[in-house]
Order: sequence, then structure tokens, then C-alpha cells
Amino acid sequence: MEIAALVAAMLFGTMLVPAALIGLVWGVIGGAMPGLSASVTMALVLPFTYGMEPMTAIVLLASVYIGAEYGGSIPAILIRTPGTNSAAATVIDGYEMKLQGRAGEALGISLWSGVVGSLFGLIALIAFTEPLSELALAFKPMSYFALGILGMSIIASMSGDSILKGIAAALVGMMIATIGIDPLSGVNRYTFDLPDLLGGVKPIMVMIGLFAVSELLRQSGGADLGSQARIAVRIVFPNFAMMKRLAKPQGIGCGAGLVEGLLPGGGGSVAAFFSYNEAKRWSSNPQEFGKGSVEGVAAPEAANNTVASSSLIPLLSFGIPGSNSAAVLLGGLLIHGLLPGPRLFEQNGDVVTGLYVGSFIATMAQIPVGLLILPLCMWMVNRPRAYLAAFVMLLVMSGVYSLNGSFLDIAIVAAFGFTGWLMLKGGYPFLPAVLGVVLGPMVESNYRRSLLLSGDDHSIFIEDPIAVGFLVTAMIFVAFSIWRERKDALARSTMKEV
Amino acid sequence: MRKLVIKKLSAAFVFAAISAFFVAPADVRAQPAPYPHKVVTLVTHSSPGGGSDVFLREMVKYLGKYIGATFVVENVSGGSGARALSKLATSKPDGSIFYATTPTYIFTSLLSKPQHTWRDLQPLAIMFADPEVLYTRADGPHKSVRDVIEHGRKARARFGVANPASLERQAAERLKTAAQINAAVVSHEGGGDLMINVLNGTLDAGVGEIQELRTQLSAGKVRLLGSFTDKRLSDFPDLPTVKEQGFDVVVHKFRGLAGPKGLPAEIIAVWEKALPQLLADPDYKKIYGSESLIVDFRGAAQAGELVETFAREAEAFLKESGVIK
Amino acid sequence: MNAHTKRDITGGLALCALALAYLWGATLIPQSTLSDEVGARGLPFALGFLLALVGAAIAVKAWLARTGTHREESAEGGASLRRVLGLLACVALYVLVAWLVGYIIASAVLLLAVSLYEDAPLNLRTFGVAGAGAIVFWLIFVKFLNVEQPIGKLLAGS
Repeated sequence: MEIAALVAAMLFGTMLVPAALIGLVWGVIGGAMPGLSASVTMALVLPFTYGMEPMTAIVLLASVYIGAEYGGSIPAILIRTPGTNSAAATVIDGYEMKLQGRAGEALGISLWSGVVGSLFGLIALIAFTEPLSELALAFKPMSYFALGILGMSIIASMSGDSILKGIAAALVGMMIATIGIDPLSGVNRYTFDLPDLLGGVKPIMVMIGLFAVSELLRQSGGADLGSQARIAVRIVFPNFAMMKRLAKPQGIGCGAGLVEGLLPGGGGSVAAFFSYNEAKRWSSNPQEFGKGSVEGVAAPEAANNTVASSSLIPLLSFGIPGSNSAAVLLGGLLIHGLLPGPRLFEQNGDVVTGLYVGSFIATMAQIPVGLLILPLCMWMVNRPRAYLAAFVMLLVMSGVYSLNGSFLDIAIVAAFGFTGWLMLKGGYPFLPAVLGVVLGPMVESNYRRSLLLSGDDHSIFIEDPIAVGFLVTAMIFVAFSIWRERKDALARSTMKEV
Repeated sequence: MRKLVIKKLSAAFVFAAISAFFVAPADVRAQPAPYPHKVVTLVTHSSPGGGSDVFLREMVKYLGKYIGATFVVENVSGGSGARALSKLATSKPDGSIFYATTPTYIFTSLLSKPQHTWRDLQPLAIMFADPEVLYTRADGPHKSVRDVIEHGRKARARFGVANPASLERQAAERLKTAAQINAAVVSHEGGGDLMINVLNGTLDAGVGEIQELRTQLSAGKVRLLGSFTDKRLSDFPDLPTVKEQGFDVVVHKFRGLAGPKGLPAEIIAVWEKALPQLLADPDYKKIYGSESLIVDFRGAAQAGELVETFAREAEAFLKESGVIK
Repeated sequence: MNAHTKRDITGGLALCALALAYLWGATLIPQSTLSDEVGARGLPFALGFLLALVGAAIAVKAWLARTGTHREESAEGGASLRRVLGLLACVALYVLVAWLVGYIIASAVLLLAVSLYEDAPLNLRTFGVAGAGAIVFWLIFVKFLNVEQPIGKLLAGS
């Protein structure tokens, strides 16, 4: 009863509800802008929160995070432009569905999966903060290395026709990731004395270049798609049968998102790719993946929205942010003189409760906000192709420039767009390259960290049970993919003979 | 690293509002010193919520009491501070723009050879020292710096620092040399990563600022082993310095302000008078006291010397270790 | 030799060339005593060698299979090189204009250039869309989101 009264007082007596709603809308808009990641969108709003009540400020920031993780999927589906890093996996099947005139369905699924993921993450945050934070502590550099390798093993099954080309793309992706300050020794690698390159080339720039710009280049001068296949301006929210079908990929996404949120340094993109691949592996319709699979949209969208809540678990339990966005939230707490950690629950329990209630409101409000915003977005992408191409190009340029205020970034993204066009021509898959950029640094720095800890002794990997588990799983995955590849090839050749 | 730039307009608006709020009930003791500029921009390379950003934003709440201007915080992050350096170096040295300095701006100048370096800036003042400490997990076996070093003589000691080629790294490497042990110094991708590896026992000890450890200290999760300071910290009188424990390693993480080269003497004079008053402000004291910042005020001349010495030492360290040529 | 064989051989050789350039870059990475057992050069060298190998393998595989029949693939690349370079030139134009006179005008120029390039009719509507679009973008990015956009060299001084 007491809790109910407290919650009621919060709902009606404070700025909590407006903060959650404004935060959500701001987050959706910021997240939908290519280049403005969830953390940047939060950082943009941070200065406005200094004058607010601590609880209002924290709820606002957390709601922005939830909105941004959802918002990133909208341009991913509609214009093949991931709004945030973690929406890149959504591009694959989401954009494919849009090309088939099923954009409304894809948007409905991503909205529903976002709600499911946020709810799951929120429950984990409220009920299992204690045990889950122990899990975060169990991860050592060896475990991170093995997790990266496990992620990389996906390449084998994401390479399409040629595994060799997939590996080449992954290697180039990893090469791009070596640009910047070396994480262990601090020397500059491939920076050419340009200060703008010190921080490295951000994965989002590679993704925007490869996915969005290359698509603009590929379509250049093409027929007006809009006139042939105008997509319906109606959001198709999943019905009960569809919800049942989506439960499995969403479950995979929630699990992956939960684990990644606990680990600092992630931020959703690994979980999104990982869950995409696992959803494919365990699906009854794996052949649909890459050709507009509803499950291929549901899994990564559930994953990245779970991260928005689960990355708060290590933050609240020991002040360690589980993602860049959680780090901004930490800044928000500190500026109001709140120290996260176990004592936050004792001393500022109302802020924590407010955070839970506010996050819940923002989670549920995703549905009405989404249903209001989406038709407008769909109307926009239904304009004649020439204008749409022009607007997408400007959107990409504006988003990319705002990252660093640097023209160099525009040049880099344009170069990746051209590279992407070349890769299309040459039959090289994009996904391994993106995975290389995302996972390369994780694999390299933790491999080196582990050997530094052990004094160049590889047995340190065998001593870490988590690492062994991941590495063995990775080996099984790769073997399985090769076996399946062979089987398919065999099937193809026998078909031809017949 | 996240980079972004926030236009100063919104910040100006918010800060005008906030400073109005804080200045309104201001006491009548001090009349703010007249200042030739209405708006003064304070630039930081931190993104909102980061270390220097919080430092500036807390400071501007009280600064208006002592200097008659509106203070605006502008985040110019990117290039590990290189962009902020450029912005400052190309601004007019008329007292309308300053930069929140930390050792980062020296390390970035040395490491990445940007177009503008710390030499293009003129230190205005040093305000604080951020004490660096060696710490370990509370339920771990080590109770003092000696314990860790003794362990390091028998096995491979493992130290952790948040970033490569940083002041913390310098402290750990120098400790290693002073103790003549063969230890691993592991860099991380920021403080969160490092903390997890200290807490789960992967590392024997980490080097960090007290400020970053506040959460863990209050939760009783970490134990301080020694401070890399000259004197013991007033908040932790029982914590011996690393030097007291027999290893002569002292590092000085400063926090201060710098402007474009060629600041007029009368501007410097206003600040040199106002900053000590600000540091004595009881409300401001409460804020920085809770963060274990040590007041270490130095005017423009001494600040310049300190920065010069610091840069010389850092350069020697980076050159000896081959990070730069 | 069919188009696919040629494509894969060129592609493979291009990857080899990229790998060599990257390896050369790796030799320029400073060596530091702060480094670990693997070192800052470790991964770059490994990546460079592997890419050279994979590139060569792609080329060799294509050469060996040159007489075989190929499954028909759709022309994935779409637009021609000339068209693609033209669109990239629009981006370059945007950068130039933005650098000179700032965001709004550059946005209008980019919108106009790309829509005309993509066969929008040269009429008042196209001009109107470009102008209105530029203002909307300026409102969203500069006024609402408040992120940095180009100011323009010629206007910065004023």
C-alpha cells in the first residue's frame, strides 16, 4: 500500500511524467538522426537538467536513453541508415522489408520488440540488480577476448556466398579499428598526425558510410521506386500470432542485451549483432534472414532496448557505467551530488524509485509516441526518389558533421560510401566489415591485456572458465557453419546435375 | 571517446538562469570585481558530465560572486583536447575565454603533435591538486604499498591504470622502477573497466584519483594503499604516502585555468584576487571538499612554472619509454 | 575470361595492394617500452599478412575457376562509376560551400544539387523544396538539437 501511495504521489505530484515523455520524444528524435548516438543525445540534454530536481533530471536522461535506442531503428528500416550503432543489425532485414513494401510491418515489429526489450531490462534492473552485478565482476580480460572471438565467429555464417570475401571484409574492418591511439601503449597508429584521428574512426561512421551512403550511390540515377511501390502509410502492429512467433528471437535479444549491458565498454551493438545471428541459428525459417525476416528485426531491437536498462545495473550497484550512455547518466547523478552505489538506495531511495517508475512510463509510452511519429516518417520516405535522396544525403552529412565538427569526418563517411559501392560490385559482404570494426578493438586489447597479466603465457585463457566456454562455443559455431556451407554446396551441385 | 560540441547559446541560457538562482541570495560581504567582459567562456575538453566539465560547472555557480561577469561553460571535446587547444590558441587574449587545464592538455600536446600545443596557452592559475592514489580491493590480501611490492618480488605484480600514456601510467611505471620489480602495468578503456578488474582480483592494485573512487570507498569495496602526494591527504590522515612507504614517487595532477597567450596584466590581477576568495567561499568549499580536491592555489607566474616543469617531466617520461621520438 | 573472374582477380590483387600499404604503415608505428608482449604493431602485422594471403587466395581461386560456369548474379552495384563519382562531387560541393558560407546555404545547395542530379525537374518546386528543406534542417540541428554545424569562413569573422 505504502509503495502504491508513493508511486501515486510521484505520478501526480512531481514532474516525473512530463520528464519521461519529453525525454522519450527527444530521445527518439536524436536517436533517429544518423550519427547522434544515444550517449550524444543524452549529453545534449544534460545541461538542461542541472537546474532540475535530481529525480526529474535522472528520469529525463533515462527516458532519452530508452527513446534513442528505439529511435535508431526508424531510419535503419526506412532509409538504410542506422541512427545509432546498435541499430546497424536492424538495417539488414528491416530495410529489406521496406524494399518489399512492408515498412509498416517492420516498424511495428521494431516498436513492439523495443517495448519488450525495455520491459525485460527494467524488470532485471529492479529485481536482480544484486546477483547480476556479481556477474559483471566475473568478466576478466580473458573473458572479453573470448566474447569478441565468439562474436567474430558469426562472420562464418554471415558471409553469404564466399567465406574468403567475408574474411577479407572482416580483416579490413579490423584494420580500420586500429586507427587511433593504441589502447595499451598509447602510441599513435595510422593517425598521420591528424588530431581528429586520435580517437579513431567511430564504428557509426563506417556503418553510415557502408549502409546509407553506398545505398544512395547504388540507387543513383535509378527509377523512381516510390512510384512503383509506394509503401502504405500505416503501421502494422504485430497481432497475437506474430507476437508468438517473435517471442523466441526477442528472448534471444533480451538475453544478449542483458549480458552486454552488464559489461562496460559494450553499448548494444555487439548484443544486436549477436542476437541477430543467434535468432537466425535457432529460427525455424533461417532462410528468410537477410531477405526481410520479421525475426531479424525483432531480435536486435529487443537486444538494444534491453541494454538501455541493463547497463544501469552496474551503474547503480557500483558506479560503473555499462555503456557510454550510462556514463552520461553517471555525470547527471554526480552533478546533482548523488553518488551511485549501494548507498544510493539507502540515502536517495526516492530517486531510484523515481527512476524505475519513470523508465516504466517511458517504456510504455514508446507505443503511442511511436504510433504518432512513424506515419510522419513514412510519409517522408514516400516522397519522389530525387528529393528523398537529397534529404537523406543532407541528413547523413549533418549528423556526421555534428559528431566532431569536422569536415574530415564527412570525407571519411563519403569514402566508406564509395568503398561500400565497390564492395557491392565485387560481391563482398558488409556485415563482417562492421563486425571487424566493432569487435576488433575488444579482441585485440583484451588479448594483449591477458598476456600482459600472465607474462606472455597463453594458459591464462584456459584458467578462465568463461573464456573457455565462449571459445569452445565459437569453435562449435564455426565448425557448424562450415559443415552447413558444405552441405548446401553439395545440395546445389547435385541439383545442377539433375 | 565520445566527442561532441555544444553551442554555447543553450549553455549560456541555462547558466544565466542557474547563476541568477545562486547569486540572488548572495551575501553582501563581497561585491563582485568589475570585469571588462559581460560573458566569459570557460572551455573544457570534457564532454558534459566528465571530470573537467563537472569541475567548471560547480565553479561557475560561485564565481559570479567574485567576478562581475556571466560565466558560460562550453564543451569542445574531441581529439583528446586538441580541438579545445586550437580554439583557445586562436582566440583573442582579452580575458573573455579560458580553458580548464588538467595534465591531459600537456599529454595530448606531446603525444599527438597537434597544430596548437600547451605552449600556445598561458596558464592563468592553478587551483587544485587531484590526489592520485594506489588502491586495491577491500577483501584482497594487500594492506600497504609494501605488500604489493613484496608480492611483486615473488610473482608478477599487476597494476592497472585507466588510460595509456597518462599521468596515472607515469605514476605506476615510476613506482615499478623505484621498487625495481618486474610488473605488468595494464591500461584500460577508462575507469569503469579498470575498477572491475581491481574488484574481481585480476589486478593487484590500480592507480586513480580519489574523486573516481568515491563510490567504491563509500561502499567499502576498495582499500587505499598510498597516495602519490608530497603530504598525507587531509581527508585520509591515516593513509601514508607512497613516498613514506619507501618509494619516491610523487605526481601532481593539477586543475587550473589557462587563456590564450598574451593575457593583459589587469585581467590576470582580477583573477588572482578573485580565485583565492572563491576557494575560501564556505559553500564552494563544501562542494570541493567532498571530492577530496586539495587546494593548491598558484597565480599566473607560478602556474606557468609548474606547467613548464610538468611538461618537461612528462616529455622525458614519454621519450624514455619510446612513446614519442 | 568472364566478368566475374576478372572482377575477383582485380579485387583480390587490390586487397593485396591494400595489405602491403597497411604493412608499410605498421612499420611506422613507434615502438615503446611501455608496450606489452604483443605490442602496438602485433595486430597490424598479423592483419596485413592475413589480408595479403586472403586477397591472393581470392585471386587464385577466381583464376582456377575461370573456365567454370557461374551462377548469374544480379548487378548489385547498380549505378555506374561515373554516376557515383558525380554524386560524391555533390558532397564535395557541400563541403566547399559549407566551409565558405556555412550550413544553411550549403544545405540548400546540396539539396538542390542532389535532387537535380537525381532527375528532379528544374522548376520552382525543386528550388522551393531545397530552400525549405535547408531551413527545416537548420531548425532541427542548430536550433532544436543544438549541435555544431559549419559556420563558414567568410561569415565567421563578423
